[in-house]
Amino acid sequence: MLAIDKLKVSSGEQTIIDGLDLEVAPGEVHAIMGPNGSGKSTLARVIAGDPNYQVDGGRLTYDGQELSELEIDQRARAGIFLAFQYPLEIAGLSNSVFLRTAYNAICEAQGREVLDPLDFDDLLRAKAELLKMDHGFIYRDVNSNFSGGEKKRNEVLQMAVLSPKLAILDEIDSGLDIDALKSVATGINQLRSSERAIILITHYHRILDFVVPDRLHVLVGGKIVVSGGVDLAHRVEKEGYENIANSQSG
Amino acid sequence: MPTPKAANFEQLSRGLLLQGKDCWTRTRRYAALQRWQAIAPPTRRSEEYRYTGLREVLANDYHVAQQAGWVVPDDYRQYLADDEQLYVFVDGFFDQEKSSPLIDGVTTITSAIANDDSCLKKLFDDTPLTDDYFQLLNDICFADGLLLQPTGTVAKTIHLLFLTTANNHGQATFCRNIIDVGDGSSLNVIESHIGLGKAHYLSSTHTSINVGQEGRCSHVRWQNEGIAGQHFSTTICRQQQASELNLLSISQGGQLARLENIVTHQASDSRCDFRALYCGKDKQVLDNTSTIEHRAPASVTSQRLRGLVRDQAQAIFAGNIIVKQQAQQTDASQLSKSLLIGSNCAVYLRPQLQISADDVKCSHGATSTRISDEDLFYLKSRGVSHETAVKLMCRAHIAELAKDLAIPSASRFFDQLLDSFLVR
Repeated sequence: MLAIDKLKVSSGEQTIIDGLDLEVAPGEVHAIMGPNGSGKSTLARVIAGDPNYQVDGGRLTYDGQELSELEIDQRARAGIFLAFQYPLEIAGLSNSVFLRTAYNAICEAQGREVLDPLDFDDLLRAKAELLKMDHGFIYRDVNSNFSGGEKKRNEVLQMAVLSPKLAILDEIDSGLDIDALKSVATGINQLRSSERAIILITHYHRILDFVVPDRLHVLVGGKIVVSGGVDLAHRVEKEGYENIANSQSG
Repeated sequence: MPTPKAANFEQLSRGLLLQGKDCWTRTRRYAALQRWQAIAPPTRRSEEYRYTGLREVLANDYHVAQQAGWVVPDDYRQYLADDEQLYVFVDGFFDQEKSSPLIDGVTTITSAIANDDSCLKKLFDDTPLTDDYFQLLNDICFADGLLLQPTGTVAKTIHLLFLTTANNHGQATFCRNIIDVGDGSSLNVIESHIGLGKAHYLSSTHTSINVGQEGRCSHVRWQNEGIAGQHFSTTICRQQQASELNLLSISQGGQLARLENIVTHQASDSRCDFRALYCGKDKQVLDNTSTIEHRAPASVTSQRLRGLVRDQAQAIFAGNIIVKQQAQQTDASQLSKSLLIGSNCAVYLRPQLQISADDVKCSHGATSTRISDEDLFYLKSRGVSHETAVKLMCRAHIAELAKDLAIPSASRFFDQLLDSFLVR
């Protein structure tokens, strides 16, 4: 589904991703761990199409199509979803209106039937129930006056509604207490399917106790230095990123 | 003395003055003319018009329409909501055929003058002549308008629809409305100003509102003049004890529009909710000026403005809240937020507080921001196009003003406004 080959990315004069390779197939959950500044969020945003980053080399394909040919919204309509590390607050725009607009844009692009406000409301309520979220949540303004945990849960709700083929969750666990973390993790697990791939970006192994990935990659200095199973997370916890990076380069 | 550029107004005002047959209105018009002749037209050196270029207005040649132009039904019905008492003026002339029957407490200004309505002179006298160039012009030239004097609660919203056909260049219309809400009475009024053609024209309106003791008045002004229209409106409000005034001012049309609102809390415990919205695009200049004066204790003002500006449009907000020494326990707030789309538009903000009382709660704030790249990235990453993302952000920006409207049917203006604002 997603194939990244020798990707090089910079922002201004600074190279952030430097020769990254990654392949993700449908149904797989990949976790990417790495220290601050290693390029994890940059990778997520480049896949989603953030124009603030310059792709200097390599290839990035999604379902066989060069992603560089697609604008941000086209990528989303093709099934790519990015859960933001810092979800934006938009006072004055309700979750319901925002998500219906997005949902219908995706449906239209994919040749599916668009929903009127009443039918969409049913869908939204069903998704909120699936994620055990209060219905009042869906009529509030997008992330406005939400707690950190609520913002992250709202990102999962958006993912549930928009039903992407590839979901990239950028530090969805950051700033969450253990209860909120479990809640978000339960939501993510509900959305795992054989057609959907998930890339879970995180600093810590804690969320991986609840969302068990099929593959785990350690990203240091803009490239994946080691890949493995979920056990790798415990090695990271024990040895630290720097030691792992040094042992691999050695 | 007027400059040569203003000679056209001179001719215009003299012509109208000669037409006046009534006695006290003729005297008042003449007094206004004398005062007007003594002042120079405003320039950018005048503080009130510093950012509002008037060169074109003053250079244009104007004439007063001698008869109403032709309006096809669709031209005005699209602006109406069900269950409104409608009064239509076309090019300054009252159109009885398109209007609802006149009800108790509702008459035209010309009828009231013709019938020598004894209250009318007093109501005019309540609004003394000022030294504002364009207000004086209205005092000299006003042709017709509506006199509303409800007693009790008027169930239906009264909609005053001022249409300018604008098929011929240089047409000038001067309207005068007086709304006098009696003690304990309640009234909802929508005042719409629509330009139908593309010719340049001048539309001037003066509306005075008095809200009696424990009375309630909700007034919506919707300015949607034609693309070459020059709109000048003044709304002067006086609030009596424990009265409630809800103002909603929407400015979206015209080449240049200046909407001035003046509210005076004359007695204690009155409440004013003042909302203003402006949406400018192309090369429009939209000026919103307000003065809110607290002259008595324990009154409340909540003033909220939202603006959307794009292309090379310019918006001006000059808002002054004055709290006199005797107006203790005043609670007044003013918050203006503008959203700029693109890099060539501009907003000029001039918020002011003048407080002479020491036991008050007053605040003001003014911001102008642009839609950030991160906002757009977030919205587009959910699959919406760039255009839709901008529209959603604009909708979000003005949403607060559309909540809990005193006249719920006014929400229709918000819906059409965004469509019109965002279309190229």
